[in-house]
Amino acid sequence: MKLDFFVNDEAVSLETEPQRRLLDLLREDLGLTGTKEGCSEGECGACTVLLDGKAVHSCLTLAAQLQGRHVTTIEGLEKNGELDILQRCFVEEIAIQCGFCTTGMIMSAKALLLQNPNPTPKEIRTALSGNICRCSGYVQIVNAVSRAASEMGGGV
Amino acid sequence: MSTCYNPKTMDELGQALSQLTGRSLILAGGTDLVLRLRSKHLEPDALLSLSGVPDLQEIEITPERASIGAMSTMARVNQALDGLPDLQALADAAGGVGSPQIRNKGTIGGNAANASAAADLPPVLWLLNAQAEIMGPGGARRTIPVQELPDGHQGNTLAVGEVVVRFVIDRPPLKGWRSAFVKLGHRSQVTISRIGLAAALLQEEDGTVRDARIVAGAIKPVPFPLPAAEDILRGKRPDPALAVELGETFKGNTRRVYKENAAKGVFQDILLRFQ
Amino acid sequence: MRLVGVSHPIQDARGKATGRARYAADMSLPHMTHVAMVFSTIPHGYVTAVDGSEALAVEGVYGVFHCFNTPEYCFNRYRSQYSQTLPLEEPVFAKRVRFVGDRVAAVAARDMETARRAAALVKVTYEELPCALTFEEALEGVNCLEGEEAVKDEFTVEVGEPPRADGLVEVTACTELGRLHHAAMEPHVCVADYDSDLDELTLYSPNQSVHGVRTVVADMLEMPYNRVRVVKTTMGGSFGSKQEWTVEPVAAAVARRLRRPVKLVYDRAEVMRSIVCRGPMRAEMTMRFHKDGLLASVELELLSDAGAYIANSADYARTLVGKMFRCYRIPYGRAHIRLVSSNTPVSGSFRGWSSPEVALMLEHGMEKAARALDMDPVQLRLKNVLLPGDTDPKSGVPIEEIRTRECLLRGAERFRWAERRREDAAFNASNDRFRRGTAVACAGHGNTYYPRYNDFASAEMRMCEDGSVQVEVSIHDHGCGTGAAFQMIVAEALELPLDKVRLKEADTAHTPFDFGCYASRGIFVVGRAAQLCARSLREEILKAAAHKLETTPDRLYFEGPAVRSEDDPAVSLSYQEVAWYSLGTLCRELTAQAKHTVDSNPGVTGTHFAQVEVDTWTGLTRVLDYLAVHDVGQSINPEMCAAQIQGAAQMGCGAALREEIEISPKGQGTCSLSKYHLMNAADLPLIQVELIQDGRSQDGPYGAKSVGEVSFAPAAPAAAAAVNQALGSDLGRIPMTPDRILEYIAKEGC
Repeated sequence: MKLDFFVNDEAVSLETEPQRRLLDLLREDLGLTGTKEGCSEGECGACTVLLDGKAVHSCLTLAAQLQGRHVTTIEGLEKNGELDILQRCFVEEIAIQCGFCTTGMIMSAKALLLQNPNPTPKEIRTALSGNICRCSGYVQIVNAVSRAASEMGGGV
Repeated sequence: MSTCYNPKTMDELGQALSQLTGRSLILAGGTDLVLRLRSKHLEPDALLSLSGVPDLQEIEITPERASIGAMSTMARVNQALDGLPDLQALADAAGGVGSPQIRNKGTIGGNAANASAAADLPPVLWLLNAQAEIMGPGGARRTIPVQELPDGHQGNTLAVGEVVVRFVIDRPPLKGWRSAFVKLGHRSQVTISRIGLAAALLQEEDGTVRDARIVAGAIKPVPFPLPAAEDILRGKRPDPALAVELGETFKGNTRRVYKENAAKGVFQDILLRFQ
Repeated sequence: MRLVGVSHPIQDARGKATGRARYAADMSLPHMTHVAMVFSTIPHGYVTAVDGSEALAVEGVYGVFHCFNTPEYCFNRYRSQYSQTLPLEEPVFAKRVRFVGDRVAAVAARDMETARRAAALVKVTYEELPCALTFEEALEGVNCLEGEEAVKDEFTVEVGEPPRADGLVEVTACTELGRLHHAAMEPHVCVADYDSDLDELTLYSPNQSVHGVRTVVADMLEMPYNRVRVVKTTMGGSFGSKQEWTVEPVAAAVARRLRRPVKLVYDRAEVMRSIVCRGPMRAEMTMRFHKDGLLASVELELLSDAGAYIANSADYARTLVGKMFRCYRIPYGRAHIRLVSSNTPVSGSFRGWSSPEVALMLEHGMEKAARALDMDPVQLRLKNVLLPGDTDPKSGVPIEEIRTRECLLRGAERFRWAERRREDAAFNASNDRFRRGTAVACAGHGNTYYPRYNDFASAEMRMCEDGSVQVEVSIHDHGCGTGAAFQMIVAEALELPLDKVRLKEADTAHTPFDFGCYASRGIFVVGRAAQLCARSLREEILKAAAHKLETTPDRLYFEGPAVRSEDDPAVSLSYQEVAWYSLGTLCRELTAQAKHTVDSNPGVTGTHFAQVEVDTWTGLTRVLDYLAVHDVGQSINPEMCAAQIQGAAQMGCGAALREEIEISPKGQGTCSLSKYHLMNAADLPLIQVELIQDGRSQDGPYGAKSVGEVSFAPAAPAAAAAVNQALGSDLGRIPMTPDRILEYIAKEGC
């Protein structure tokens, strides 16, 4: 099928199989390897991207579902070499260890802040409950999201 | 290579449905289907994606009825119904499915049509006596009670080329009722139900239960009502202490000792919702 | 200190936040082939035929490899040192399959989807053999062929003299541990690049020992070691699962046969089914105490299941005995251990390498003892913990400084131990559904495998023309910032800003020989070598500067990144000036080499406090509060220490309460994260951490001790003990799942 959609605000046109996963389109066809595959079944959240602004699993999204839609990946957060506030807070709050969950975690956090600019720690934990981090106890991650929210002044 | 149908209107959907065969697959949110496609290496002759039909995502709530497009995501169902006492159970169930990512993608139609025994929405749709509106080849419509959707073997009764397009809940019969759904899984968030319990109560001003309806999920292949539990509740206040007695009504309904023992906990959790 | 002890983001945090950090699965090479595996679907039997014709007919498939069309490549996944003489028990492609998940065939294709689709078309015919899935079946030798023994290894270790005193209080704790999945977020992967003209093989993988991989692969393929290059890639977590070699031998074998680059990536189900797990153990631990609570003896009867291949299990069990003596003073210890092999996933290295397992057994016994002796659990432990100046009775190595006592006291205060236990009791008395429990657990570990084996590490450094420094050390960062810690250690010693120190990870073509980053030796052993090397480089700088200033090095000193003179306050030579002088005038690059040979292994312990609430109606347990207090010596990067410890608490709570790979009657192990329930953010409280830093080691860099593994050792014991405290129960089957809790309550009440 011919697929026309948007990735990180750029129009992308691809000839692909309808059954191809968004995860593979990103990693293999577009070279956007920041999105990770951790479980292939929508349980770990490492492959999280935004689809029309909402966090979804790119491993459970098929090309057939993407016509005309907007996908944002981790690569789309950095603007002109400047890290997104969330990315910077993750670095500065020491919320990153092995890093394999990080990009998906940041995308879930991004989706949360788009919807709820002032989340409580409990709301953050619920919003990130679909993203598994095996290295930490989520403490620095929650701190990073809280700090990003307050640095954004409660508005994204 | 399979053909992909990407209809944008209900008319186009009807036409696309005419093209489907027994080897075709209909793709709603994809949260279950993609897993099946991959694990079973399915090679459908056609894939019909419902993502592009805006009408399928419409949610319309009036005092008379709730009409919920089959492609409404769990997140949207939760958002649209949360706070409506009679429909609260549906908001609860949708809001408790999987993770935020799953709720942003999984749909009410997929959850019901997929007919997994552990699915959370079917018991609530049963509880609320929802009707499923079905479109067939060429756009032909028919409506069935949701109770007739599952085939009893974790599949559905839809014919080839049929798809659920929306669910309709008549609200006047629910006037004055409050409903809730709770589930028991392996953890608080992101968990598959081991028990799902949907309840609706009609209460007097002092809290006394005038009428009760209770439907359990994740126990048998299809949801089932618990009239014995309803009887216990009628005429009493929904005191959490009734949970032990209510839990006994699970006996004989499940062969899993764990579920039988744990039922009282789920009953108590749901009673607490009516305090 | 300027840098050491001050928290820093890890070296590649920015790359990981932007998604640019490159993991092995992100690599692509020209003409790369993708490999998908075919695994055994039966637990035990012979492969009698493999029909790859349908797979080969798929467009884009380059080959199907199996035991009937490849040389008999065999290896031992546990071999990480050239000197280990281990049987080559594991074939790359099995003919006799020993578990569901054993490798049968590999399909190479132009892309991953094609490879996977084709792999599903490979038809394997088996002749089934009887299988052993449980301890009982394994002990009966159900799965043994003629000449095979059911018990693969059996030994007894005795330390000290049996107690002679009368009137000892005896408790016996029965503890049974299930299989654990490491759940490193990055699945196992290897990219193998073979240059057929040079007969050179390069392997890229996240592994814990590049030299270990090289040993195994070069020997298996009969290649000279210098023609096999192994590069450690960014690792998305290991927890021990990447300490043994599973994907590397396969990728290497296929790349060499195909003569083109190969990428082999497992998915989660394949990792869970086929790679490695923490194996099951069944323990009976008898502890005797004097009436005042002083420990007199510990006797352990242990049955361990190696799974399908022996791999490290014999060594793991021996290590376990050593770990028994790393926390408490045990005047007499005895362990009788039997190892069996079953048709289940292979048991192997898991974070802590038997410290967490033996801690579950010991702490279970301590809890029972506290009840039997009617003593407070904190007091009982205070009476028995190792103290500074003690000696490890098993190894004979000094414990040096140790702060378990301080951890207990500090933790009890901060966790409001006595008060909280009273609050729990009041809560439980007034609640018919929920029960709360608060418990403590201590556990110890090591910092190297010395003195079981000799241990040493090397480091090399060179100063660039501008005064910045390049370091060559064989580190294998698991994701916890070993790289940053090394930068800090070196920059501290050289008085340089962090960004003036650069180091890459282990690469057999460039970095010095090293055994690998396991046994918690990364900082303690390799870090010490780096610190010593930096000191040598300081001396080289001073020597060159002295030459330039026509003085002696002892008249010079460092101030910031500059050399100053005691004799002339006006003198200030930058490193750049010294480097230029050395290169231009002395015709010598400023370099240093250092080696550190280990002759110590101080005590290192952690003390964890957990409060849980058990729903006695559903069996679900919630962790309400958690505090970990750790004796880490000098912490290099404190917030990373804390983050690692919190991760250990997460893993420990999971291990105690719900994580388990269960084996079905047909030998199928749990292979989905939808059924293997990891702790997510909503499951956990704010895990608190406190570091006690004055119990410094003599030989670790700046007094550092280990943290990565020891932090996991007390975690599951604390959570498990809290459940038993809540229920007044004696559950010894770990994990304490809702089903087991309800089953217990149904039988015993609560």
